[in-house]
Amino acid sequence: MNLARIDGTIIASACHPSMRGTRTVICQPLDENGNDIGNPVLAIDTLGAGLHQRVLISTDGSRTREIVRDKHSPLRNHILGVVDDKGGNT
Amino acid sequence: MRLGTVIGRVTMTLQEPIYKGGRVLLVQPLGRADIAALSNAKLQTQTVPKLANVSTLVAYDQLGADIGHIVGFTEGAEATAPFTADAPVDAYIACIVDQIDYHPPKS
Repeated sequence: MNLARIDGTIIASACHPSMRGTRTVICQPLDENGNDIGNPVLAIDTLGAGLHQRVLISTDGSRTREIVRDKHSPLRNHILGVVDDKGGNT
Repeated sequence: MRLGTVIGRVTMTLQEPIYKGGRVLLVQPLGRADIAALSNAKLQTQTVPKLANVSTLVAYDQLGADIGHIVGFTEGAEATAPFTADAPVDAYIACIVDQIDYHPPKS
């Protein structure tokens, strides 16, 4: 599980069949202080997270394959939850 | 899954039978600045953008991506999931991106 911020979306018409009908978002991974770390990653979003909302990304590929109901899906990241409040400095 | 640009093609006369039906492409992963430059831009051109100093990887493609296309690719165990048998594949192209909407917060 990683903390990240939604920074955008992509549109792809040619895609693996398991991605059809799912929303794919661009997520910026964050460190414990809310600072950006590394480059953006893509994740499947079934919750409808909004722009600049903080989310938890799961990197469990087998759960993602259950969500898209395709055991041959190449997807790994999906949005687990939208963060309301996080203890700590930010 | 990460975003990348297709910058080249790998052609093999002799190859593992599992590779049949797709092709093998060179993919350059995109950084934040690259994604910001491509946001709302016209994609799917045949021009290769200026390359950043990051390592290029080889990805298996069944969708028909070509040089200059922006793609989403997965790495690791998930890259072999689309295959019905064990496949020696490290990176798999999962989508060809038509449009990117990227709006990082202004700091």
